[in-house]
Amino acid sequence: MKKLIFALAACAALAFVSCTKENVSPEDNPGNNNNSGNSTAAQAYVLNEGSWGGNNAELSLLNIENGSATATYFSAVNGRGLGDVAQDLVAYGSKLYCVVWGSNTIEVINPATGRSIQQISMGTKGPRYIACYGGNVYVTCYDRTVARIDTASYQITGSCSLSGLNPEGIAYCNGKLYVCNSNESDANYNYTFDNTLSVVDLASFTEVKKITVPENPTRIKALANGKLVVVYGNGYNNPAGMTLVDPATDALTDLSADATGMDVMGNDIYCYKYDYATMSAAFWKIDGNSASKTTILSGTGVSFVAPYGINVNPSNGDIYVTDAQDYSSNGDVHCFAANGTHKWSAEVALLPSKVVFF
Amino acid sequence: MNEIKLFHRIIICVLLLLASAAAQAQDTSRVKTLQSVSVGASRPVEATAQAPVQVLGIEKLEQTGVTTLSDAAKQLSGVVLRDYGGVGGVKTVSARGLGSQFSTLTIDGVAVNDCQNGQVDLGRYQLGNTEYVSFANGQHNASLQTARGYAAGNVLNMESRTPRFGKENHHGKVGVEGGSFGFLSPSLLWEQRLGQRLSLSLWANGLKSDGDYPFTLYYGNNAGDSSSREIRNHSRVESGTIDGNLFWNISGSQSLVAKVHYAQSSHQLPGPVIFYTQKGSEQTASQLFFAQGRYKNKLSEKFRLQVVGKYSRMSDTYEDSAANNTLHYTRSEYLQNEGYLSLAGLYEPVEHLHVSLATDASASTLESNLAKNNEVQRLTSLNVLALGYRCSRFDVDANAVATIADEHTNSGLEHSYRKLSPYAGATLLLWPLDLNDAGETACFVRLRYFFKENYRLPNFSEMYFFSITRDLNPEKAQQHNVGLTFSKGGVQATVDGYFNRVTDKIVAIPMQSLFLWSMRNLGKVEILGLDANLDVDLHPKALSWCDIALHTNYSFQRALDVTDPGKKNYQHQIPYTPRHSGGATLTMLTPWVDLGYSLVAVGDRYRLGQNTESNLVKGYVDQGVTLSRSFSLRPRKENGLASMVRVKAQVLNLFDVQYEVIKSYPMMGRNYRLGVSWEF
Repeated sequence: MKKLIFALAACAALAFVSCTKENVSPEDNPGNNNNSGNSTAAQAYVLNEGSWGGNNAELSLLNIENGSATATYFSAVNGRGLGDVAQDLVAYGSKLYCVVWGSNTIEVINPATGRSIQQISMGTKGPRYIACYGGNVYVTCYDRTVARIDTASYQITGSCSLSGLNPEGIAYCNGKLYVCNSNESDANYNYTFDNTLSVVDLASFTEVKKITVPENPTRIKALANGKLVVVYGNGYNNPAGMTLVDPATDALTDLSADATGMDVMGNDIYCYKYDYATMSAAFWKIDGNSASKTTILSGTGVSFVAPYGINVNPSNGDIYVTDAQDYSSNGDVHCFAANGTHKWSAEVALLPSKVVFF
Repeated sequence: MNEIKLFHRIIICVLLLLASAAAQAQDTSRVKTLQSVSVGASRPVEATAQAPVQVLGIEKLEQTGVTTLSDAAKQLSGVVLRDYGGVGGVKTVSARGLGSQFSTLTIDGVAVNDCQNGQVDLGRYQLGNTEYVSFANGQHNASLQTARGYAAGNVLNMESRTPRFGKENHHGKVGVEGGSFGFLSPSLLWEQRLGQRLSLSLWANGLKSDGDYPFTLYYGNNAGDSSSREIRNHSRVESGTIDGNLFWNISGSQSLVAKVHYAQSSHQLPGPVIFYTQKGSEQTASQLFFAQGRYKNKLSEKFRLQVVGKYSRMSDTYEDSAANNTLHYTRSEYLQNEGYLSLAGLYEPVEHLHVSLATDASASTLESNLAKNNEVQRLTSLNVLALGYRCSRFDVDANAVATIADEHTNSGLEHSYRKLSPYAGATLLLWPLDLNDAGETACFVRLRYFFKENYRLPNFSEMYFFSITRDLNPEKAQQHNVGLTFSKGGVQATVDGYFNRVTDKIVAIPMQSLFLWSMRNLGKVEILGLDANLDVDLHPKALSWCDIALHTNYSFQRALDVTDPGKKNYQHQIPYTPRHSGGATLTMLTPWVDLGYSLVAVGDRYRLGQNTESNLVKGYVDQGVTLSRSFSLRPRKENGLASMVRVKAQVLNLFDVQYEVIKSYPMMGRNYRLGVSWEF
């Protein structure tokens, strides 16, 4: 009888857990990078994309005090691989949401245990990037939609059609979602590049307008001052760069930085540029109000091979740079204090692209 | 009852029938095949070659149930077969740590050239009209050969079957083979004699496979990790081949062998198995036509001449009905045309010494519907000067290949290559010391050595389609081989050690972003290896009714990436190259039934350059058994043709081993084949 009561209690607890919708929280505010679900994080998850068709996407667990890493943490804990090509990882509420593009799934993960709570199938939508707000996660999908997933039921509760090409990065800002419309090819690999952001109104969940930006926008984040940072261009078909967008006026302020990737904290933009031709890297911190640019992480003693992502720990301002090495060997994570001092480096898995703190 | 179960029952019935027939017909002697009339090229001899050569005769291949070129390649030592699974999965070979593009496939000594991808899918070549398959590291020792033959890193040759006749002027064979997962393959061979010196043959083959086989999908590398039973979908294959041949002994000193070949196929592409999702939207269709001829003339005792010509036309289309683009549809079309001419002359100024010159010219074009560089043309000239000295005790050969190639595209890009590459080789008979004493049962021991340097040109895909920079040089390979060969009666053994070095290896690196790649001559690989082969033919006195043949091989390959000491894969084994591999085939011919057994063992490999646990692709052992028997329909006339029926039953992957040659491309588990053919 005791056992039965215990089992019932456990079921009730589970039901309670799975029915709790993430409440509107400080995380919903602009300027938050959804890098952290915990202000005093001692651990971090590293998103390793894995190779295309390789079923070797992985989440690594980092002890951020000493840099010790469990490279194949997700597969070890869950007894199965994450899938094929992990594209994005965010912390929202008490959970992690991981987009696995090649496998068309979203894994909802308990960060305390690393266990997957739910695997959401996205059919053939081609999920890419996530933004979170008001108890929902919003996922851009290559079927030119944004899917809305309820964080209590883990069901897709809505889909918003976009009028741009292959949506990539997505950010929430003041009641609206901003989506980068990137590029698509035709049947003969002729590429067409989009140059717009789609603005999606959350209440009606429809695309309400588009903002023109430079060609091929791919990444977007919201700053605390209500402005958006957009990374655009690939440097080959079109110029690479970064611009501020003021959603109130649609005015652009180019940041004169041909960044490859970036992260934000408050009003600060941390970004890096990797020149594939010369195999050299540069890092900047840009003030999102004044647009003034400072070089960071020079003379750290760390020789970067191929930087692949940059993230800031919101609790202490530590800067994490992921390095993809030769793209077929395990990558590394380098940790630097806010003042640029190298703290430690750790080997993780294939193509590490993002660090999320918990 | 489902189709598979029904099929299993049929197989069992046939096996029972075979057994009962065997019980009834123990006194009838086994039907022997006829001797062929020698018109084609002579088989290479393993024991006397400078560069290691392996020869697989069609009889033993048939007895071990081998019907495709890729299955034959599994029996070669030092060769790595990349197999993407199922009947339709692409199958390519590479040898001794050199990339697959250093392996040249030749048919009757004439190269099959693919300037788009630089490699050929062996799974598309059936052996129904083949006499033997040979594989030479370095090059074949043939005295007269094309410059392409000299220029190759290693050569896989398929020699067409020479027509066989009894008293009648025709000989034919019809057969059909069926198997698990919707496999069906009918074939027809017709050989016609048109006089003492001229004969023709026509061979046609059809093949169809559904390929919907079950497999176990493992979601992790550790014991106890999740797994599920899945079915391989979207892998249907249909193909047809027609192959016509002419054999003409024009006079005692002149001969002409010509071939016209047409093959058409359509393949659904299942792609890699992706966790948690199903894809099945890609397919290819291809058409291949070629006509080739080889004319030989022995002008005098001192001078011989060979002329080879070929025209080929290959069209490929690739379609994806769920492509990630505006139309959700991709269709790529490629058309390759090639004209090829080779002249070779051999001059023997004095006994034992020969000088030969070979010159090849070819024009290759590739047209496609891609956005850029949709017309590419390459003109290649290969010129070889070769010297050789041969006597009964030793031989020495040396040659140099000059490669001149120029190419241009309709987008205005131009590129030229100029390379010179040498070869040197020798054999020395160590035993017996006195050749005059050597009788039938003598044992021969030879020492051999060769050095070869060669280049493979970048293919058009590397150069123009998937790269945004175009400053590639040819990839360079150097091979050193030293070996011992032993032969005595029915026993033949070879052991070869080798050291190869690949430099300027073409590797892909991303430029600007992971969507824009570039090819660079960056890689370096050093390979240290050993190949051992043992062939034994036994006619045991105690079992006079029985012929036993055993072939075993073992290969060791330490193929290390030595590109950059700073990289994590420095001195790691290169991808998909096992340290240890080996195999065995055993055939036992008895008056009742012929038994063939084959075993392929491949050690652990890594799917990527860094040799980590996550990249490990586990080794496997694949075994198969073939039972066959011939029944004579009418008595064999003296020197005449026996009309006979041959029945075959085969179990492949006997122990239902779940394995992958290429990660995420599961192989077929246990499956069955049944075949019947009528020869008349």
